[in-house]
Amino acid sequence: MWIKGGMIFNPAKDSAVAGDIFIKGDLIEGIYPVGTARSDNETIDAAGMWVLPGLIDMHVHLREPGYEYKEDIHSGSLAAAAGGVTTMACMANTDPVNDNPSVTRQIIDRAVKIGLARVLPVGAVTRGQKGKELAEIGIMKETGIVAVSDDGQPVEDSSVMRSALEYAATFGLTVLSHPQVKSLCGSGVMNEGALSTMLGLPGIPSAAEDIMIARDIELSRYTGVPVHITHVSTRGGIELIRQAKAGGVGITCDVTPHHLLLTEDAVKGYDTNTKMYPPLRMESDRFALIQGLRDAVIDCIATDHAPHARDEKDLDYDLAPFGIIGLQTLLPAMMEIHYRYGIDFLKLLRCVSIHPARILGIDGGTLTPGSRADITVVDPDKVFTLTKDMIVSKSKNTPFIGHEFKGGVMQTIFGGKTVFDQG
Amino acid sequence: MSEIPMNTNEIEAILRELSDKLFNAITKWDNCGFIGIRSGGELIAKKVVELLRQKTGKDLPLGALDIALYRDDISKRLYYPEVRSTDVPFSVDEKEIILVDDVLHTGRSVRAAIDHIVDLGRPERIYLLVLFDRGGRELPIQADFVGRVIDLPEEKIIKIDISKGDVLISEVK
Amino acid sequence: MNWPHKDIVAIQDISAEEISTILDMAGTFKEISKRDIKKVPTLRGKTVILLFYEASTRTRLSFEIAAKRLSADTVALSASGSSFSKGETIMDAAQNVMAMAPDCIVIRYPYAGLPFRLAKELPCSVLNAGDGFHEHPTQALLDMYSMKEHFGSLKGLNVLIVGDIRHSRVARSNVIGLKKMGANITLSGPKTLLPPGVDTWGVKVSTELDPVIPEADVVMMLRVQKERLNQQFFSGEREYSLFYGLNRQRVDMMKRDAVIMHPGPMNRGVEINHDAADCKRSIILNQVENGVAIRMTLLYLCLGGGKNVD
Repeated sequence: MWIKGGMIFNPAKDSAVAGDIFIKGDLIEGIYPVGTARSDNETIDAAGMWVLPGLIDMHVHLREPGYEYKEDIHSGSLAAAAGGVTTMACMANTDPVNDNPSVTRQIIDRAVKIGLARVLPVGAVTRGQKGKELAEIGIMKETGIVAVSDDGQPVEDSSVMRSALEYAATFGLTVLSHPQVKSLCGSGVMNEGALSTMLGLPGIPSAAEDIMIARDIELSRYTGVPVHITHVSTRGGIELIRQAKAGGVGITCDVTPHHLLLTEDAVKGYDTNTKMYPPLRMESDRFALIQGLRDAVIDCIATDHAPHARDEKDLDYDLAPFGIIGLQTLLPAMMEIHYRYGIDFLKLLRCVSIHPARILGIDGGTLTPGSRADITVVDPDKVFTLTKDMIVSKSKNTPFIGHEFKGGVMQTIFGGKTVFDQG
Repeated sequence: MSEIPMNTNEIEAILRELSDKLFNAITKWDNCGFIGIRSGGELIAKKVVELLRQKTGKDLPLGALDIALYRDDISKRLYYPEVRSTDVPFSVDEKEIILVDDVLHTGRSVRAAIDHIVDLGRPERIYLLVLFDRGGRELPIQADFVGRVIDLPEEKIIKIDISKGDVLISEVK
Repeated sequence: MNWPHKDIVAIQDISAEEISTILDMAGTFKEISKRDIKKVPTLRGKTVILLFYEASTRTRLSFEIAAKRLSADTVALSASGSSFSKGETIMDAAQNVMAMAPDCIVIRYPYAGLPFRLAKELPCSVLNAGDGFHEHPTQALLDMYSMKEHFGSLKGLNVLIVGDIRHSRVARSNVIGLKKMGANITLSGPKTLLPPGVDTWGVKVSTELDPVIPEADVVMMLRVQKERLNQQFFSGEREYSLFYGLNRQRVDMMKRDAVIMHPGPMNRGVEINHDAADCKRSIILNQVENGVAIRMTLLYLCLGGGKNVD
């Protein structure tokens, strides 16, 4: 198959050059000058389009096993394909928790059978994610996990976190840390501040996140073992990470598209599709995140795709579960950041390709000949308004319904097979 | 049918006539009370009571009623009639009440006023005194004492400012 | 005079002019409660449903009496916890109630946001009788009315509010309303009971109570929930009443003409003791009386038109 005439963004080479790509079987055979493509082969006309390596989203919740009414690996893979995501790292807070090789195996096998995206399980740090005893990280590694995380929960006990860092490192795995001091959160449901008081909603102070980021940084510094902080939302957190990196600590981090685009103001109106952890913060925090992208303090963009059924979200703001979906809006959100803030698209692209690949120790995120043909074709000029009907996930909990985006996925190719075609 | 009186002197003359009629009609001076419907009837009641004081030497009980909360057309309005207060500083029980208003038209204000008085107590008798009767009744209500019967097209409303002696005719909005 | 609101959800949404209208009208409705026949036919045939998802005697009673004195029919439902506890989503519960065609729903709810949502989605009037930590607009209006009744005007009045401001919707609504009407507000309480962002409210804050009592025209004591006193917000009743309770000595520090208010119910001996609650300066019972008048005024304004004038 040929993809011809597109602007090819290759983060591995740091280049954006027009060309024709030839796919043979499930691999990229080569990249050629524009016009090389033969019309007797199957062709995708990508004139005017951007051709990217299939996106890697290192933080999603696929809810299978146990919560299939919210989402499952199949619907999640369909959503990924519609979002141009060809590799997903899925979190372990399923039921049963993915803290043992049989659940890991189950997830991998299901995903392979479905064949719409590469699903890489993230194993739990502790048994049952209870934060006390380490899970069978080694055997899970053999079975196929790419990292460990108790995401959904923090690892509250610092001695457990220390052990986790060192133990996971033994098997070449990174801990993806969910930074939250739960006692400071209390019954909080949005960012704590003047707005939470005005709305009458209990607040989550930024300190609840920053304190644990600081702890993880110190543990990493002390043990010499790298740690990855997921979904950073505060100015303070970014600053801590910036300084730690400058001091040579092995810290990496990711932020979500919604924290880059939205602030706590979205909570006015009490729409529970604005409720997630960490909460939407103030404009000064959001601005710090954008800066963090600009100066590459932030390594990755990851959606924290967290589906919840309609009836679950249709409760009082105080009571609704935390989380919103994000797979389908990842690319459009990146385009918005690119257009609004003038951040070089290649820089953003690295955050969903070679950076997460490096942190997870996987291949992918490049368009190097000989690598898997995971490719996303994007129309950078396509203007569209997100509607509920467009959403492919089982759950529709996103604050972006009604939002106008510029830039959308046209085709997604996974292992040489077209798994999504807008046209 | 009269020409619409327009000035102070004519109004004064009508009020004198009315108080004379009352003087002849009321039997128990110790047992009567005057209640003006706010806001048009309030000053008229006051004037009549003053004229009767000159005739009888008695200070007759005087009160004022706000009927906004007794209207039957609340749901139809798109704006709210201003709610003033009701101030009837005497008991209406077993009294002869003279209810006073400036203009008798559909009869609905009087109906509301009667309902309100009955909520305050049980009068022996209620008389109605009006300065002008312009016809156009929607309820079977008639005045006992009428200053003048006048003819006014439906689309016009009449406003009387007794204190200035002004009688204003304007279009219904 | 035009009343543009279908609902009363928050003082935040009501302009200073509209607050004046309400306060000016309340006197008329107060007079009705003094008559022998305490009823006018104004809202005859209208149905008012009271949904109280939090325990409350006085507010519920006040609303019921207000509606009944305007000849409306009332139905009161009490439920502890939220509709969620029965497995029903809020909108389901609301749709069920709407099917019975009420003209007005008065709702008290333990979490913020529901009255706002109901007002947006339902065609009937929605009156907020208190939602979580958000607002209690009718309480603020009756408090302001009580102050105005006593002092003649709210402009320039020095109002001191003492207690658990952090968890008090009464405090929030009062601060918003009084500021609109030009009063000067001082808040006093331990730092743990002051809400985040209070420095953006444009009020004076003092963690020491005694220095700010002498300048106050109104001393409003807030109820402190005993459960909170034993959590990490403060260290118990004894310490609280020592530093922030209104007792004989503090009453003596008040201005000669200053008054004492309390939204009720009182925790005698904690935030207020009998010297203060029962003394001549207390207008606490006036507040209760005025509550019925204010609620009658609001029911009249919101329901008396029949049409959504928005």
